[in-house]
Amino acid sequence: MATSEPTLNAAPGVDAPLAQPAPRPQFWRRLIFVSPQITILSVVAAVLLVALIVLAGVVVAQMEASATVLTFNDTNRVFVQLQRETLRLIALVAQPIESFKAQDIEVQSDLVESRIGVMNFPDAQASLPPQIQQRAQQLQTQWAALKLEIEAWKADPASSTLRDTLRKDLTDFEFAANDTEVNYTRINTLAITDFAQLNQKQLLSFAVGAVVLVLFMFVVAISIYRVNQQRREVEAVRETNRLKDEFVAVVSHELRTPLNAIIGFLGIMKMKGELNERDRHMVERAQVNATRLLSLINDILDISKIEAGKFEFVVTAVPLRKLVARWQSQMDVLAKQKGLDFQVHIDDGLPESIYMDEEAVTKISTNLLSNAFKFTEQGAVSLAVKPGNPDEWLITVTDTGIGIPEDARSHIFESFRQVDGSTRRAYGGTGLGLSIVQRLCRAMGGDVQVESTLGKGSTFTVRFPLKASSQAPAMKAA
Amino acid sequence: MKRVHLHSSRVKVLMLSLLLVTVAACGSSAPTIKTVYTEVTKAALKPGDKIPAPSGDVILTVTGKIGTTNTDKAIQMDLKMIESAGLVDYKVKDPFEKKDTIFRGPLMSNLLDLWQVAKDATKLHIVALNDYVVDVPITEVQKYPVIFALQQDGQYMPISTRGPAMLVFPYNDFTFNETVYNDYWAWQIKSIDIQ
Repeated sequence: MATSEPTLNAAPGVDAPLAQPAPRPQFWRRLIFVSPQITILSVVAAVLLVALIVLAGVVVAQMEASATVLTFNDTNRVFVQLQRETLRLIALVAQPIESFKAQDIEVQSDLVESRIGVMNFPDAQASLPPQIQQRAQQLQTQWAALKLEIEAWKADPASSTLRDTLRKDLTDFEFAANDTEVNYTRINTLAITDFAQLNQKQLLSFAVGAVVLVLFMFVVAISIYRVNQQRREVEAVRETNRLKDEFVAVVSHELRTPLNAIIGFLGIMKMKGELNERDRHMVERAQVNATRLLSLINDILDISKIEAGKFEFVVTAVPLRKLVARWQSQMDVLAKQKGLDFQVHIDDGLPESIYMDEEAVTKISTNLLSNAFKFTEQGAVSLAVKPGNPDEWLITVTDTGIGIPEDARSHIFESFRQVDGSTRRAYGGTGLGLSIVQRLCRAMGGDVQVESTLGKGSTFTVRFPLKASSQAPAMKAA
Repeated sequence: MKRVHLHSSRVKVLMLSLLLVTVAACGSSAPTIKTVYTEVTKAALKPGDKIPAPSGDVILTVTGKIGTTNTDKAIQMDLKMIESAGLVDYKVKDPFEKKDTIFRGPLMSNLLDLWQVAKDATKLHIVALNDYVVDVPITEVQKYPVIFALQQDGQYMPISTRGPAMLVFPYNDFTFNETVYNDYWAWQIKSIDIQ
């Protein structure tokens, strides 16, 4: 589980707040970039939607075209009737001269003219396709010329030249009208067939497209739902962890108060000097256990604080050599008790003071050194402080203890883990020490590594980013 | 301000005239057969009069269930005779030419009375010069002010533009289903057989 990992703030004497968790990305970024699958699906769905809209538009246009098709019959009648009246006129003109009646000719030619008039009605004009409109115009012009011919012949009905020319021209006119009607029918038939075919094709593709689109939308919706669910789960887990950490912190605090009282009173009892040897021994045992319990609670509290991101690092310029000397004097007692050699070495290349959280670094080295002494029965423990790669400084703790088997090296840093159950029984301890060391290191921008040979010993190396006091930016005015 | 007593006679008169005006206003909102057209000439030939023989060109032949004739089994009418049935003007949006037009002619209902059409007659079988045939239910021309139009916008209609006569229905003042009634606007009317 990753905790937030702040870097050391270089302003000394000021609480270095841990970095805030990264702010949640803006809504749009979350929506679009939540997963590449969803992005692709959404793009495809959008393209399909556009295609469908275009198709729908084409279908609508076709439907409007069909309205023109439907008025065909009415308009076509115009040409049919024009033909019919023209034929009647031709028949009248063809009659023998004896039957000639000017009025009959007049009436019939008026009837032909009225059919031309109907051709020009707005409804007819609107429903004629352009080619047919053109032909209608031509028919009108033809008729205008014919009218003059008719007048000329009426004035001289006996003239066979005039009559024959008139008959021929009227016949041509009738052919033209018939031709127009045939063409109009053909165009209309083609339009109907085209429309029917197109209509079918379009409806089919429209239906298929709609189904596919619906499927895609469905898939997209499911994906979004799943991602949201995942996020909700993660949030729930985070919330649970946060509550757990809070709980631990609160409870640990409550546990320490009575424990401190116990330790205090035990101390007083021992000091009083009224105890016999056996009682004194019992008080000492009680003290040791109470102290151990207290340190366990402190460890748990530390870990929960670090995990909750609430561990407050206090960064100051610390004189290195003094600090290490303090550690040495603390551990010397333990070394003497176990009869182990304890070496301390500080490299000259290190500056006088280094910026660090003194308490945290002390906790780290104390933990490592305690472990070293705990797991070593004979030989030596050595502590070395030296510069590492540029801008780093290292603390190494080496022991000649029991060592750590290779498969255990990864999980010894986990909370409550020791090498195996047997080490706990044999050596005690809570299993939290190395966990705290690792978390603190990482929280300060460093890390911890271990090298070990089973039966020979182990070396723990901690590295920190180096910020010497001479590199410090200007201090804030106190 | 002088106090007005509700029961004074002046107030009563005022209220009554107000009521009458309101009633009149309500009544006049629906078009009646008389309010739709404008009378131009009064009828010279009245129902019951004997219809004279035609003097000019015969433009209309009427046969069928009629009560009077002026030729053998038919009434033949020229322009002047038709006009003597009394002319009215009617302004309407022509459904074919799609523009406002004033048609002038006698009312069909007047013509029917003149011809003494039988009470059991049901339809007018109209035949046009180009052999177009349409049956107009007789109730349509009795219910509505249908005009036997002879003039369009002040000009007599020649055959070449729908003349000599066309039935004109009052599209502007009543609602008609144009798909059906456009067929009743028979033009180039030659003869009517009352059936």
